[in-house]
Amino acid sequence: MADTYIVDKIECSMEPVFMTDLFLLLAMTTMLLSALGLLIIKGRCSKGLCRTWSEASSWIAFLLGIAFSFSYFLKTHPSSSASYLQITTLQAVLVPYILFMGVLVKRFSYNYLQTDSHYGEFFLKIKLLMAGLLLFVTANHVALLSVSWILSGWVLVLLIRHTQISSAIQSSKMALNTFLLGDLLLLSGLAGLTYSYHTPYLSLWISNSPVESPMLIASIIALVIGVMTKTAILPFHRWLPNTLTAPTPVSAIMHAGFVNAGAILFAKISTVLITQPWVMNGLVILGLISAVFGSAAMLVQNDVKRYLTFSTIGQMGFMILECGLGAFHLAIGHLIVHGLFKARFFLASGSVIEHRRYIRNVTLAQNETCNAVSYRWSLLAGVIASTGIAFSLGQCFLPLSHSLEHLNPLLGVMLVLSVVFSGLTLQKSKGVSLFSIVLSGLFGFALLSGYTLYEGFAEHYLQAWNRMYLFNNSLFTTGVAIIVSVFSGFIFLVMVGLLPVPQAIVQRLYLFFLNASDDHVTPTNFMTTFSHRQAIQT
Amino acid sequence: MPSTATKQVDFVTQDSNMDSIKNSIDKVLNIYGKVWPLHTVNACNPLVGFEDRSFVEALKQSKPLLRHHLEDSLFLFKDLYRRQQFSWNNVVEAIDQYPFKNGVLDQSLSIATKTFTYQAALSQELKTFLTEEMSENIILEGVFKQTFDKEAIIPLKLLSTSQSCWVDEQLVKWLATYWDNGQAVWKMPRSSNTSFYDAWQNIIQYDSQAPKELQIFLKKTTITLGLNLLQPLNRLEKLLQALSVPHNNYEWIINEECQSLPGWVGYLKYQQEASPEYGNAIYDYLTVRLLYTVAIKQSGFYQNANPPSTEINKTFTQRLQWISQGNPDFVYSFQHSPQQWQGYFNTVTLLDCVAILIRALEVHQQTPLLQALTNAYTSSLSVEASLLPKAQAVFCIDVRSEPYRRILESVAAIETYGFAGFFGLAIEGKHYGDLESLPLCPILLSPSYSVQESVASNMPSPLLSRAVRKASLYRQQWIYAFKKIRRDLFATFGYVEALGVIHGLTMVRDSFVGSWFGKAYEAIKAALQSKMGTTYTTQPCNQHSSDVQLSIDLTSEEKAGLVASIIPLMGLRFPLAPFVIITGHAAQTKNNPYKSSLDCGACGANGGGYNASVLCQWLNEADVRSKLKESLEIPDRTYFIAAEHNTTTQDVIFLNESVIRPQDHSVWQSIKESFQEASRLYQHQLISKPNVLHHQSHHHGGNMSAYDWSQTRPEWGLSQNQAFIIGQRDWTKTLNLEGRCFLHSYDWTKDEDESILSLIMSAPMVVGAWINLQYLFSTLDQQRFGSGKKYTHNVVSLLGVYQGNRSDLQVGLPYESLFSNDGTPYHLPQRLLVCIEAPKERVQRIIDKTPSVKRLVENGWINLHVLDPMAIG
Repeated sequence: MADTYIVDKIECSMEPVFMTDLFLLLAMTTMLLSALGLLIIKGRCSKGLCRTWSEASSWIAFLLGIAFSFSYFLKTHPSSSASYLQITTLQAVLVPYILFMGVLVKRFSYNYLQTDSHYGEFFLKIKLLMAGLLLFVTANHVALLSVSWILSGWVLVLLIRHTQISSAIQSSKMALNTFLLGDLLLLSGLAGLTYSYHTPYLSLWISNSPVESPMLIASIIALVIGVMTKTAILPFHRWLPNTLTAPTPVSAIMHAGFVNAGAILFAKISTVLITQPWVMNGLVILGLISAVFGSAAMLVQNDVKRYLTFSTIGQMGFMILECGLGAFHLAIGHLIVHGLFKARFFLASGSVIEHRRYIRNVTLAQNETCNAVSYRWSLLAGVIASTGIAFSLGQCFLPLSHSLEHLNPLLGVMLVLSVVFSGLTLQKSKGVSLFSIVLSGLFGFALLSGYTLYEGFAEHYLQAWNRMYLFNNSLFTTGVAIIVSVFSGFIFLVMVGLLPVPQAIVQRLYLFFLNASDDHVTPTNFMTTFSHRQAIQT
Repeated sequence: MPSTATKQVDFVTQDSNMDSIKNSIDKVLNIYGKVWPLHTVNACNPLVGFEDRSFVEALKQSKPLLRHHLEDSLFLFKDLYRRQQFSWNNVVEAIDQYPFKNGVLDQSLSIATKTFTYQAALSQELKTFLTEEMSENIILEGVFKQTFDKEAIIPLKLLSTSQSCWVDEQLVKWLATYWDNGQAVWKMPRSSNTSFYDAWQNIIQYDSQAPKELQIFLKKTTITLGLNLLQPLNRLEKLLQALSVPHNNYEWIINEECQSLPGWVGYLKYQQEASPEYGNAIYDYLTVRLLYTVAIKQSGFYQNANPPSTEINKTFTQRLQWISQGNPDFVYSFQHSPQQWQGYFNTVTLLDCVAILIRALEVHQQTPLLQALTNAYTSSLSVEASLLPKAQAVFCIDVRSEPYRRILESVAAIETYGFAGFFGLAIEGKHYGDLESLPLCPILLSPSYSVQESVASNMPSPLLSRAVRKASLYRQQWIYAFKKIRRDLFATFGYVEALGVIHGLTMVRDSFVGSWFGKAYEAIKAALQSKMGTTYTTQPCNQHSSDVQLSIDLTSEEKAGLVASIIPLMGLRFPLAPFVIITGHAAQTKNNPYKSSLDCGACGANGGGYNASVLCQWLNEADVRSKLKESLEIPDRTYFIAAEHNTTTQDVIFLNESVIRPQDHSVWQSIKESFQEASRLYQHQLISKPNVLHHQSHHHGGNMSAYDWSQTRPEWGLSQNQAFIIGQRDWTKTLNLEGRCFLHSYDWTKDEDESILSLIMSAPMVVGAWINLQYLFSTLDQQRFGSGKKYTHNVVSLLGVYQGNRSDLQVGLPYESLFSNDGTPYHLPQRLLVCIEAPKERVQRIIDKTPSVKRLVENGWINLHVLDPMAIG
């Protein structure tokens, strides 16, 4: 098959759907009004009042978001293509998600930051960030998109330096520099695209055909690179490990809501990207590199938050990979699921000490030597079991043949790798062998049925939103899939112990990843500049 | 060929050189406090190395070595003064009591035509400081900068500030990697039991952060000095020689290397004793640092980098402001005769002011307490002995036990006693299914016995017990399995896809219905607990082998011997009541790295239920009882019940109710209900407690915080601790001590040979003093002795906490445990008031013969007050 892709054309209805729009607008207004309110009351009232105000408004906004989503799914009418806000399934899924994260993180912060001297300001900034993200998700006009992009970046910088400690201010400067670069690239990209499509409305970029020119390609590239700065893809990932000076809830919301902005933008302008297959291929490569780099780097980190940070870099790489393959719905699904996962682990990062006991028990019990034969059998059994279960269950939702038809070989490879490696890691601990078969089987089933569900959801509900498949025709992705398989096979053999690697290489690799998290420009002063003098005189 | 004579001389010099290095290191290490890993955070005096000096001298002498900023705590006292926690009269009294050398305060300053004594100047300085708001005076600043703000004279500086900061960062990186306790999946590539130095040598050549030139010099130095072939001390000697450090500066240099990373140095100190198989951790640390230093000096690396900006020392500026109150005569006199001012400022330092204000606070807080105690004592002497109680309960001396004991006594006829929470058993214990033993005794002692928990066939419902314990083990393995999947190179992507939603649900659970789940879990646990039981087998420590399942237990004679030495120390009134309840305590909290700081300090920062269970098991054994018949008269009808007081929710759970025979169930039930009633009342009191310092939004429902993952302060722990009272319960029974006092039971009439009081003073009292001093210094200097605000903490290597991006290992207590939400200190920094009911001579004799106690008393680390029964009665 030649390079063909299917695009569902959007039916442009000129009939605005009142309730849906209203709910969304109310939700956004609530966020902005409550931010304004906090701005007024922040220095002058008790923490209890700040809390009540913030909690009430975030709940109201969340409920409005849910109402918006419900009314959208009940009616499934798209908004008019010339309006300022884009209301499609993407928004219907993401708006409640963002508001939900806001509610959760804020609820956590009420108690967690109870001793903070800038309590009201903190919630003000969080609200502004939420408002910025909401606007970004729903924006249909280039100006709104740019404003919200820049606003959310700037508010995040303020949040990173919230504690006003000198190391925090330094880190925030690094983040600011990265964002400025990204902003420039994004703005130029958007400007170029506006020119090429002759309209600043994103939804019209789907229906209009662009002027093919080097400017179009250049703006798309600029846009893509600009987006990558915020999504912490290599080589723009350096700012992220430096943000640990921010309070934990800020890290949670950053990793759950903010770094996803890239994939969200890609999904919004997916038709534009599709016109440039080589840009997509570039995304595949960059995403893959980030994914492997992030996952490998996370294995060497010694502190919890850095481990989570590199895990995010890896996951964002995977998400960009999925975007590059055209599976935007999978990328959005991954974004949501990852956000929930990451936020939870950041907020619960103090509980690693409670779990230490389990780790010690299992570490002391496990026998480090492994039996290669029993590995292979248990892995094989696991993969067969999971495929079998998923196959039979998947038939309920969607003919598996249909979804497999659309499943890109690279994604398929990654899926299988996940199951295989999960079985591998589990087998290393002695005494859980039956366990590992069962677990990897369950895991594989969960994975495959998850993908089937995504596909089914996409099939039924995403008609009004651009949905495209990049068939497994592209030699490029097949080639990459082969390379990834070979590479992971190599790693498998190393981990099993069948392939010895010289110590020098191991040491070098280890240090490469360990040092990846260090990025200071000047030697920092370790002492936190907290003193009673500061506390009382401010 | 060198002659024998020369060789001998060399040998002698070398030996004495190494000795002097060793001595210097020991001396320097002495002043750094040990830092325990986070799962057993023990409280210890941060200035423990200075205890042989007076309190005030310790503050002053520790400053250049430990680089603290205790003077900044003056502002904390200003805040307390504003909130009327102490008054001006207290300050005057404190100045009077202050141990200035004779005649110091009578020296004078002449300003214009008048003379001010030092005393008057000090009074004026403090008064202005405490009562008035002063703004910065730019003119004064300009005058002072030239005259006074000189940098302290540094004997020897090897590296510039930026260079030593770089070395600090490198060391933090290597230490976190080497000592990783289970956080990283891909660990530092080294074989087990490689020392830090060897591991570092293996890996440094591949380090991209060390520039090429530096690497060359590192390698060159290593080879030239032959470091890899030498013993650790020899290496240090060579390196110090290479840096041309004179002998008398060894201590200074070694301290310089340690003072920038006091947290890690403290942890290495702990590891030196805990894991000697890794070699000498401190020597290796110093070796690596000095090796970097040598290489950096030779390569000139980072020479011209901008150091972090330092604040201008405004100390003297401010002090003169406080004394002069803007009076131009003072400024004139300063400009024209600065020496007298220098004399004043150097004699009456800011640390003296801090010590004075601490004393003022103590006077205000402790005088009424002492008065109340004295009055209560005289009135308690006339109280008759009460009737036989329904039960006797032994609690830990912890301050949180005191309110519970008070309420329990008011609810039912239960006598309570205070005893150190480890109940005399210096053990290390393994919970069921665990492979790692935890030391369950105070840090002053080392465990003598190893205990293992198991399910024996003669226990009630052994099948149920085994099933429940196994289920808990499977749960652990399940959690660990999922943890492993998500920490894998490729599997992590699939994990997120497949199971990410579950984490969203978990967040919803923890944020909104965490307490329902928590309580449901506990209800199930409690229902099962009453039907199950475990048994404990004990062995002496040196026979312990970790691979072999212990089934050999101590003999009844041995157990009886141990018990016979413990029971009389508790001061229980004989004949014993039908139920003797031995209550340990533990905290309950979620998502809190500092949980162990809230647990029982006497049990090595673990829960106290384990020791209570072991002791009660021994006491309930028929064989042991029969062996004890000669020494102790324990009635056959008496049960020993183990319990654990949850200091966060105030519930008390009973751990071995299954020993109670059916005919005694009804009596037991009424006692149990008394405990539950006391828990309810205590909880209610805490919620409705009006506290002047509290900001309204600080108030938290004690019950819910135990399950709240976002609560950084589930309970106040030992904050506001104030006194340690050693005496009979009758004395303090009528007083409401507000949960601020350690209470240890002691009957002076039954202690003719002074052994009991000696034991109490040398162990629990010292531990109490250390806890108090830990809280004191953590409050006064959060930067150096505390760990800062919890919301920017980052758990590193599963053994400690970073503050922010990367920092030294944090020591001490976090901000949230000591300060209220509005920034005022909740813990009022004062030294421990120790009140003992015993004859004065007895106490004096014990002080004289116990060096650790003598140090604390004579140097003013605690305030000792003895109520002599023979003088009063």
